[in-house]
Amino acid sequence: MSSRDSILATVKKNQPEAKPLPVIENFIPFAGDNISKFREVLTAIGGDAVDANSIEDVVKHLQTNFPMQSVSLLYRIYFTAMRCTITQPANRINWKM
Amino acid sequence: MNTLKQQGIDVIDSDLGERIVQMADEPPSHIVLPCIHWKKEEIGELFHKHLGTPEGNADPQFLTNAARIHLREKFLTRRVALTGVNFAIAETGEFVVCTNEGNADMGAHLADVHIACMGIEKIIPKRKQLGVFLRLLARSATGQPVTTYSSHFRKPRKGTELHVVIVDNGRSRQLGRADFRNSLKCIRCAACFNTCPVYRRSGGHSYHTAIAGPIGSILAPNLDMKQYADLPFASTLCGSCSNVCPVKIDIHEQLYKWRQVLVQEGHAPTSKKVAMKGMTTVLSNPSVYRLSGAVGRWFIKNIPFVVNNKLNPWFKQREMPEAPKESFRDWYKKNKISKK
Repeated sequence: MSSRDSILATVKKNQPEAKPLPVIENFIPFAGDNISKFREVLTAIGGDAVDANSIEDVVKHLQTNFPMQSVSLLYRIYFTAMRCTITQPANRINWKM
Repeated sequence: MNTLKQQGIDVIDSDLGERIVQMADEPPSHIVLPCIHWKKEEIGELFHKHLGTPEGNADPQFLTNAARIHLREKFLTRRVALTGVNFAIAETGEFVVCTNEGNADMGAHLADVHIACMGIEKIIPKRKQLGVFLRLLARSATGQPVTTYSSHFRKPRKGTELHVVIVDNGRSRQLGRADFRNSLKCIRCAACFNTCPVYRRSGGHSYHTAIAGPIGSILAPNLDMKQYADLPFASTLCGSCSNVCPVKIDIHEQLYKWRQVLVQEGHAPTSKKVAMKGMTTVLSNPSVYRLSGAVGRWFIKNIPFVVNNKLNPWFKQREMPEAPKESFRDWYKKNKISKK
């Protein structure tokens, strides 16, 4: 018996009694401004939020702040961003690259 | 990690706290805040030695930037990224990695190969349940509404590889222990560490296991009863851990149950067994109890060196108390106001 099979057999043998999935009714989505809340929490834990309106803004920020190591990183970020759809709330921007 | 090191593979922790303890060549002392036991001045000194930061600089912002530059070079040059998994979703086949530093994302997105290791208990049924767990985790770990990065992985990017290693390491056995299987609900938030009066005094290293704290004390004996037989006994059973646990693990009850299992399996040291039996005799016989009290008071008063010596572990780092003139019982008998 491979280790995989023996693990699966043990898991199957040791199953607890099945219970129905709970329904979580009081899970209320956050009602405030997501971005300002995120910024507030990020700052509180020592992070820094930077506004960017385009991928060029991101690149520019990195070039200014991380000039020494940014060449390869920029290439990769640009490359990844070209493949992604980054969606933000309506009052911000909606990139589709 | 040690196994990889033995194979000659360079392993670099990319979480700042993990990196600090790795540089210091010691294990983490907390599962969410690995270097909580370090002072910023000590970190400044460590970075001066390993990263060449100016001597005496202990500014957290500066040191973090130094670590960022140091780690960025690793992210850009290393081709394989190892991450953990916080949650995996059966419905979609995706898994989620939570960090506040974005280090999992930097690693996984810049490397050609991403290897994710997950315990078998990380799987939740559906995506709609994920939000509950993400919020429970962050709230109980650091008090945030959600971690800064909660990154979903489903398949490798074109031209790269993604491997998921599903780890058992005793979990399937623990699943079979009806009294202890609840411990597998743990989402590793460390709320039980932060509230535990024992952890808060003794720190994570005293647990001599990767996962310290109350949860570590009920997980570790499943891996090796002999090696971790001491852990369930190092608790006051105050129950604070069970009170704060967001996934409702009955931690202090399991600590109590592990004690019984460990003694039954013969993992209690003879000294403990003898002492416990002695205590049973003393505490269950009022006359023996009174006699022991009187003998103890007499010894402490008249020949204190019998207890104030190195052979008595309680004497280490402590002064023994002064003996009271009389026991409470004697005092009460004398001062009781008669109802007659």
